Amino acid sequence: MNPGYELPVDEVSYNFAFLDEFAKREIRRSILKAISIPGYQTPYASREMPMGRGFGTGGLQLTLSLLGAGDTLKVIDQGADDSVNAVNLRQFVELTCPGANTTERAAEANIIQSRHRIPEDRLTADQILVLQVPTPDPLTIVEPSEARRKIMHGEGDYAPLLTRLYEDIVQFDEIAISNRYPTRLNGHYVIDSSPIPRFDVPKMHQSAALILLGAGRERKIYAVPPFTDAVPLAFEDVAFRTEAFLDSQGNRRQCDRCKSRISYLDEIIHPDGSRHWQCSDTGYCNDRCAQLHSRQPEEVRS
Amino acid sequence: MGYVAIKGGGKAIAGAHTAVESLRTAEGEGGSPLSLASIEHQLRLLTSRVVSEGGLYHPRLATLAIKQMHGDTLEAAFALRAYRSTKPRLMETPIQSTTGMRLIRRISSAFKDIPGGQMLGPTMDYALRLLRLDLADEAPETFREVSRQFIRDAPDSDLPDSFPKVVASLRKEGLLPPQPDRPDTPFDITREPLVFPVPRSAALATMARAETGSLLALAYSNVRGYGNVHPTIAELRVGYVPVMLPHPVTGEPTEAGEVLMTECEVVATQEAGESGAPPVFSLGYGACFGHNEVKAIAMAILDRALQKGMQDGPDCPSEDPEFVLLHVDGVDSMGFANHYKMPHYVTFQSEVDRLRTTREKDAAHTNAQGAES
Amino acid sequence: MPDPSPVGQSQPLDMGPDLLRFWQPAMQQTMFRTLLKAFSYPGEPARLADADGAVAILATLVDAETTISDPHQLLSDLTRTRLNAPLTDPGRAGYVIARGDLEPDFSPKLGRLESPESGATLVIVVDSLSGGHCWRLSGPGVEKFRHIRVRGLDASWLCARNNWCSGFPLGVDLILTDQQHCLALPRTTLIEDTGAN
Repeated sequence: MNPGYELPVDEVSYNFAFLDEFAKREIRRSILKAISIPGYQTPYASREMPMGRGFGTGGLQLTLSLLGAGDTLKVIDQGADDSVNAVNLRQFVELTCPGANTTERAAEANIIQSRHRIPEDRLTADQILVLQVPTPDPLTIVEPSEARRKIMHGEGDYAPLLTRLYEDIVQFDEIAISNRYPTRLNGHYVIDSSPIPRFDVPKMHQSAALILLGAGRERKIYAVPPFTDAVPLAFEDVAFRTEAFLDSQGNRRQCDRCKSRISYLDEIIHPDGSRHWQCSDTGYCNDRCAQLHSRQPEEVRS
Repeated sequence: MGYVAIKGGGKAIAGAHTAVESLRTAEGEGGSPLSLASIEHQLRLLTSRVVSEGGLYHPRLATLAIKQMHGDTLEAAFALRAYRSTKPRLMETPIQSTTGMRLIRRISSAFKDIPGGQMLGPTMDYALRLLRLDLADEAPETFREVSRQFIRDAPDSDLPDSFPKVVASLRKEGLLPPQPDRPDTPFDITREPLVFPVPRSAALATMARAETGSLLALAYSNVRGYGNVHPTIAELRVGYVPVMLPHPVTGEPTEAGEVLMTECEVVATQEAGESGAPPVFSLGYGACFGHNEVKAIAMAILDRALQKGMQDGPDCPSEDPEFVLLHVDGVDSMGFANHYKMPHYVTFQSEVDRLRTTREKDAAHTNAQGAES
Repeated sequence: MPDPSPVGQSQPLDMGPDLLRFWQPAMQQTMFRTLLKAFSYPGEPARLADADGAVAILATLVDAETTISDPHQLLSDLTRTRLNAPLTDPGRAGYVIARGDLEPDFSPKLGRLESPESGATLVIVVDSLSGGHCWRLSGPGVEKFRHIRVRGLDASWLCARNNWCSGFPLGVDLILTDQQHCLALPRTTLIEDTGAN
């Protein structure tokens, strides 16, 4: 070790959006191919990021390759902007993308990065949704070898997957998959829809906005292009079913804060043991609360 | 109880950072910060491990990572790897040779004596693992005298700077297959994803920066019986490899610096030579940054196992390239294990919905059956 | 602009002021978002640049990690150097730039079943995207139908393209540019000739 060596303590400056231009170009090429082949898992080199693999590095690399000064980004995790992981990612973008804005309101964002939810309000053609994906391949449950899975995807051989779903029906009288529901795009590739609940899968069908999915650790990018058929796998006599949120009387539950009866709800257990329900999409809930508040003279406790 | 919007993520993260820093500095009044030089020298093998698993040869930054991450090797390697991501690539070096390695240690198990001799060098292999209580309260003066004494006693040496490779003599005799004339362009694992089947260079590059324990477990499984590599170490070397780069003006290969490396070549069971040639030994190769002998040996064993697996098909996990290469990277595996700590309540709610529905259906069936009987 | 006569020599494209600006990171990001929109909504024309759109597209997508082919010699030596991508023949390149007024006289890479992304991207230089022959588009990214107009594209391109893309997921992805605008036609787009001009 050269004894005169000194650490470059003043040298800490990052390229815009952290990634170098080669990394961004490779990701951008992959994105365009992913859109051209809906649902195909396009491989890419996937750089190490300063947050752990599994914490959204795939989604983040997509966002960083998209972002420019003047864009407005919303980051949510479990539907919440204030979830610790979303906060961490948002702060990273604020640090490395001077000129890009961040927001908690979906209507103000043109890029939304999300873990495990698609926002309640319908997205427009001026918006792009980036979903974080832990395991991108729906065939993993029936075939551990990636090399063999690629052949199955190319040939459209999903028989083992359908067999597995059918076995669930025989055993449970239902398809037992709760999230990461296998969904067929444009009549060809079947994708892992990422750990969004079944509730959100219909939002992928004929969406006005582009949906990009990034798996950092597994090094794959895939896409649901706008206005594309996205059909969850099901059988003629066993339909695809979303979470119902029914109470014991069979009534659809509502959010305790904003009263919505159509949103995905989080179950909150209070210290006294009682169970309460609130919108998982906190931005949506806050917007509705603000509207309720402006309409009603009495206070809405929040 | 109000219907509360749950907030505070940002404050929680800031609080966690404060707590981490307070633990690091918990010695309080009696303590003083670790110097990076102390870590690099007195914890040299820890530093070597982090340099190797970070995949970036910068021992001083590795010591900073160790200090910052409280000695966690997975986190320190991760920090080094993330730092590497921020650096633009200026050029690719031409293929380097380890023949010019400036050795500090060099042994062969295959032969009693080798040209240049067996050099034990700095090893603890033959030391007794008895705890030295005199190190518990080491005085600075005693510490410094050890180093002074070593330099005083160092003999004038007429040992050459570099030594021939043992495998060279095996090749000369035809016991090892000849080296290819023009090696293929090595696969760059930092630029291209692994899409199987992968070339041997991709396997070696992946293992060179893999997590040591992961490689060790898999190699051990092979030699214990889940596999049939029976290795003999032809040569294990530790030393400084000169990094030769083309001079910016003349283009002549010029030494730009040197990197500490460990290299292990194992010779394994006989195999039928190519196209009717007489049988030869096969070579397993392991090499990594820093002084990491266990890692280099494990890597050489796995290299041999994977070559067999790629050629004949895997008979056990350590021979399966997908199984080995996709599960030995510490940054990937640690990240995923850690990610289970993140909120998963939306998907959990979905699971609960599933389970409740299934139980209701089950109960309905049972009731119906009860009614029938 | 390329010489419209079929036998004429191709002029190198970048006659304008120095094109180094296309390699600035901020410009690359803007260009990429334009291309992203084009691929997401096939046939929707987007404004690229004042001139030299084809070079702008290549600068955004191509570098030493890709291969490029320039069978009609549309790129100057300087641009080729800056792109830094190994030059190869159009049957093997990941990115091909070609004149639209000439018949396609090559067979581009269509990809493989296990890696369809290796099917080529073709950047085709045409006269205009705001007038000319009319095509009807449908498929992913298109809500029902969209009509596009192209002038300066030889009639045989449509048949060749539809042939190349007849075996999904294999195929090629097209970017048409008149140097100021571009539109994209990924392999999933169904293109029908309306016959109208």
